[in-house]
Amino acid sequence: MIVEAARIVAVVVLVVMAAYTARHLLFALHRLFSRGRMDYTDLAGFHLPSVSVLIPMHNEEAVAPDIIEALAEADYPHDPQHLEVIPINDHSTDGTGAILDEYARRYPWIKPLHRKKGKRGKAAALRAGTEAARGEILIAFDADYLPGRSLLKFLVAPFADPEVGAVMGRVVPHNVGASLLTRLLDLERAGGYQVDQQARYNLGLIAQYGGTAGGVRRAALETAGGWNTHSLAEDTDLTLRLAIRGWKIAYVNRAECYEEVPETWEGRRRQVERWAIGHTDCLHRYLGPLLRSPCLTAKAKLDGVFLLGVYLTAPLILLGWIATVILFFAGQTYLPVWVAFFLASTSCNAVGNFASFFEIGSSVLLDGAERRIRLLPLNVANFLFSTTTVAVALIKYYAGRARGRSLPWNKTERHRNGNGNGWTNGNGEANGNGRGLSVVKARAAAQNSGSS
Amino acid sequence: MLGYLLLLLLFSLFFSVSFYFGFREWRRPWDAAPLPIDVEYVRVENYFGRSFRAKMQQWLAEAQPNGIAAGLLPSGVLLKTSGGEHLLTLPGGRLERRGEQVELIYCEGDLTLAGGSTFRREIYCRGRCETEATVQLQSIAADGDVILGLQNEVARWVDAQGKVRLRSGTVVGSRVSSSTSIELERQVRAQSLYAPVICTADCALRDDPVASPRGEAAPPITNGQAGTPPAVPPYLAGVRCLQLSPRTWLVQDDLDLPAGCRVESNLIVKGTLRAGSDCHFAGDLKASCIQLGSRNRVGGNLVSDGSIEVGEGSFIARNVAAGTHIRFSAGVRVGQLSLPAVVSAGSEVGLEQDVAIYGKVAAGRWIKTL
Repeated sequence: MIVEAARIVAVVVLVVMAAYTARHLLFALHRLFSRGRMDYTDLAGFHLPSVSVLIPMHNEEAVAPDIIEALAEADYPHDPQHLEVIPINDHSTDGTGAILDEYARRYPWIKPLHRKKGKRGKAAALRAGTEAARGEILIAFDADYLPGRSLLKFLVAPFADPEVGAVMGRVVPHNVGASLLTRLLDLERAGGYQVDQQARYNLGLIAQYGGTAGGVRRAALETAGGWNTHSLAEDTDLTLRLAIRGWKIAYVNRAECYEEVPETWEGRRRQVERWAIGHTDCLHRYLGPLLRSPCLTAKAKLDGVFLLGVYLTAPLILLGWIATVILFFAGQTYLPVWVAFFLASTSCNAVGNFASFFEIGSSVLLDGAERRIRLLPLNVANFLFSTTTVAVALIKYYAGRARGRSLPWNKTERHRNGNGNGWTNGNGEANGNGRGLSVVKARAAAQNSGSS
Repeated sequence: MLGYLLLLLLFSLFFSVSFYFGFREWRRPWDAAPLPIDVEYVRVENYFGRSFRAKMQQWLAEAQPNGIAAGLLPSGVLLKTSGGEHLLTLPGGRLERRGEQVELIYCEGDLTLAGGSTFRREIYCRGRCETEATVQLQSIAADGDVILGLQNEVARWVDAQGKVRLRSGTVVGSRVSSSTSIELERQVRAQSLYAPVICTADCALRDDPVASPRGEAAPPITNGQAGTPPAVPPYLAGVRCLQLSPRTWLVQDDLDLPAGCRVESNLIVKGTLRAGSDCHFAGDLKASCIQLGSRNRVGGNLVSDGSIEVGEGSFIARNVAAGTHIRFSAGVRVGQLSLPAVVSAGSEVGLEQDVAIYGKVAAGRWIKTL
């Protein structure tokens, strides 16, 4: 009985993982050998709709000055008809509110919103920000992001297409050298954006709006029902609702923005847990509507199912491992040993590291950063960590779901500027140049001079 | 048992080799810097000309005399920079044909280049620059006008403060930019164009680029904000469609619009959109393939993943973007002087005579005048 069950589980896991592997292989090959789709970058600077930039902030005094200064240097017209920046102080207990008020005195286009009541969390903050915003296009940034001078122009250009409901840019970690984890996450991000997102966009599938370094058309957001404050992954939630209603999500690889990735495994655990639960919650909410949508093609629906089910692969892999051990000790071998060895070693690279060879390998080639591929075998650490974290998170999720409870929002820890101690001059005034921004600029300048 | 042990050994070897490089990169990183993003980048449409002018000023400041260029009319002075660049400075006049010119050229006044000449390096002219037929150039920047003669070939770019005129058969490998205007005769090819006004042969705007198209007032730029469309517009009767937002309709199949149709909302067509003559679109238009008849008016953007063909005398107020090719018939106008626009195609842009575009034209392969 146990052996029979293990055999069924093993076959199911193999089929599912083979399907995901084929998908990743297709994406990587497409990125390496096929032409890109129209990305609207030629329109940057010529399509300038009114934009509201929303920045949810909860205890962000470590990073708030940097993003405000970066937006002050943006080459988007800083007049009331074109741009307003709404930092949303979401129940902060540190100096975030004072920083924002100081900047509002300095720049008329900054309109801080202080939230002291109501539900906390990013989606709730974005909802409040959207109510206050007047722009036709809403661009959202996490507080730790560092938008370059032209980023807004690149992000709004695709909205010249009336079918585009949301736009996603590419995020690039700037604290790569902080730890092994940040270096592995840098590889993961490269594969995720340079290959996965771009291929999905090129192939007419569902590119994902990531909730930061991206924008949404207000009309599309309103028809989709606004930000879902009950979701831990409000970005995936919105992506699905837009796609199901016929809006397209454009991905612009050229719209690059620096972000800070978690530097500690604990920070990473909380982030992955939130993503896994939020994402899987979307699976339960939108799988039916996705499959019934009259606006999506069959291939887009199929890829949507893959997208929604991606976190379920973690517990599946664990089940597969258990089933394999059972089958091995029960003497259930179907293949010659050398074939099993070949499959095992290939699987380790192709599936075990979540198709890392295909996607991460291709992305570092496309980015011209081949040297960092040496680190790829160590990605198995990130893979094992994520797999177990996701599996545990989903157990929590389903247990909570059975009891009718939802998990709270966990903010990602920031590490820039001494983690919250480096911004003020002692009088409660905003320090105009956050260390993070200048450090990133200096790094970029050094790299540019080095490469030239 | 021995087989298993051998396999285990082989597997461990493979594993340890790959992990060896991984651990080495972790402990002694070769590349632990963030991927470079130029956070200071701001797009400058005439970047080539600007940066070359700045470089030329730098060379002129540091260059040392390196002799007189004999046999030239006008006579020039040869300079050599510390970086080993050879620079020919001229007062102006007509530069006769003398085989291949391999020096960078700096001209203080107006310059004429004799037919059949070949210039392997860039030219910077402080005045007006004119070439005769079949001249081959690398790149040219001028503070006055640039007029390229018949069948010229420019390997890279052309930039002028004054107007640029490209005569028939001229090919520019990269960008043509001007602070004033670009005039293209027939059978001209380039990869991208940027100027306040870009016009093709026989264009009525050539002498008065500020005038609105064909003397008519341009329609207001509504961008889908003006008016309130009815619940189901009459032009969508009997068509499989759905409303994406109060101002945006999506049609699931092809759509044929009769002549004189007025579309107040943004319109997305999954198939081919064909519009008869004298149609008016207040908002944005998107379709897999777009064929607009003559004298159409589009108040918003015109976007297609495939191709776009625009009929005679039509006007598009905002940007035009196509995944493959774009073709404008005679009399088409895009953008306005006060609100420049972009025409962008993944493959080719074909422009018939009397076409005017206010802003930029870019193509993955070629922009061609027909």
